Amino acid sequence: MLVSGIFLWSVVIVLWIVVLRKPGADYRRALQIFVTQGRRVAVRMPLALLAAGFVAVLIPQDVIGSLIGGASGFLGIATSSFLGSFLPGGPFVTFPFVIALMNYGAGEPQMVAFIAAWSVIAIHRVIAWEVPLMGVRFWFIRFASSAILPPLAGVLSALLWAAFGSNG
Amino acid sequence: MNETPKISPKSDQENEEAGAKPASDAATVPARRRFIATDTLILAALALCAGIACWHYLGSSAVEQAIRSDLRLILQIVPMIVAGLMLAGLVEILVPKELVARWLGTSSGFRGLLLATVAGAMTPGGPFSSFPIVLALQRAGADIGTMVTFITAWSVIGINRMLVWEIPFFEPDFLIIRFVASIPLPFIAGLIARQFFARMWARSEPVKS
Repeated sequence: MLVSGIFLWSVVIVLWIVVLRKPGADYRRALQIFVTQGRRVAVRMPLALLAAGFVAVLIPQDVIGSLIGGASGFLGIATSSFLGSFLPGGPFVTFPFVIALMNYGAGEPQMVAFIAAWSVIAIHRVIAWEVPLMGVRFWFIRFASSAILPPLAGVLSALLWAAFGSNG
Repeated sequence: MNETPKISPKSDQENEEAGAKPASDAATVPARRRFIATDTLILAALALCAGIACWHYLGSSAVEQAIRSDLRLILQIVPMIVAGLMLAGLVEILVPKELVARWLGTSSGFRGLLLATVAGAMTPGGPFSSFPIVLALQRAGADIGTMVTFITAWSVIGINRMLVWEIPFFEPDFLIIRFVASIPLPFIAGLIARQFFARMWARSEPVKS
C-alpha cells in the first residue's frame, strides 16, 4: 500500500511538472475534472464500500467459497464471468465489491474473470452508451467477439497464478 | 448545500463532455441539478437495507465489524484515490483525442490492432470519452477489428483506471496477474470481429459522402 501510494504521487508530481511547463496546457481544466470527479466519488464510494461490506457478510461464506472460491475451478470462472456482466456502476462500486468477495473466500482467477466480464460485457454500459451511440449491430459484433474473453482471462490468470502467484 | 442552482463553468464542462451523448438525453438534463443523484440514492438504500439485514440476522457486532473494516479501508485508499483522480484530470488534458483517432483510422492489419490496443489502454475517462473516439475512428476509416480492439483495451486494460482505482484497492500481485492475463484480450476480440463479422459490419456502414 505504501509503495503504491508513493508511486502514484510520484507520477502525479511528474505530470504536474509536464503540464505546468507545457505552454498552453489548460491546467485549470485538469483541476476542474479532479474536483468534478472527486465530488462524484466522495459520497458514493463510502456508500459503495458500506453496501459491499454488508452484502458480502450476508452471503454465507461457504456459498461464496463453493460457487466462486479458489477451488471452484472453471465452473467458478464461468459463474463469475456471468455474474460480473450484470454488475452495474463504476469502479468505485465494483472494486469494493470484489475486495469484499475476496475477503470472504472468492478465488483470484475467478475475480479476474469477474472484473473482465464487468469491463467487457458490461450490460449497463451497453444500455446507457453503446447501443444509443453505436447501434445494435456494433454492440452485437463486439459482444460476439468478446463473449469468450472473461473466462479466457480467468483461465490465463489461473495459469499465471499457479506459476508465479504468492500462494500458488 | 454544495449544489448551486446557477450554471457554473464546471457544469458547462460536464455538458461538453456529455455532448456526444444521445440528444434525447442531453435535452432532458434539467437546468437545476438534483440535490442528490439517483445512483447515490440507490447506493444509500442498498447500504441501509444490507446494514439492517446484517444487524437483524447477524447482530450488532457484525455491523460494527463491517463498518470498522470499511473505515480502515477508506483511510488506506483515500490518499491514493486523491492522487488517482488528479492523474485522471492531468492525463485528460495531455492526450490529444482527435490526433489518436486520425492516427488509428489509417492504420490497418496486425499493426492496426496493436496500435488500437495501446491507444485504448491509454485512453482516460469513462464511456463518455471512449465511445466518441470509437465514432471518430469509424469516421476516420478504421475497420471493425480496430474499433472492437480499442474499446476492449480501454475497458479491460485501461491504464488510467488501473492507476486511479486498482492500485488503491488491490494487492500488487493480483493487479499484475490480472493485467498480464488481460493483455491478449483486446487483440483476440479484434481478430474475431475482423475474421467473422467484417462483412456483416460493412453492410451496415453508411455510405460515406
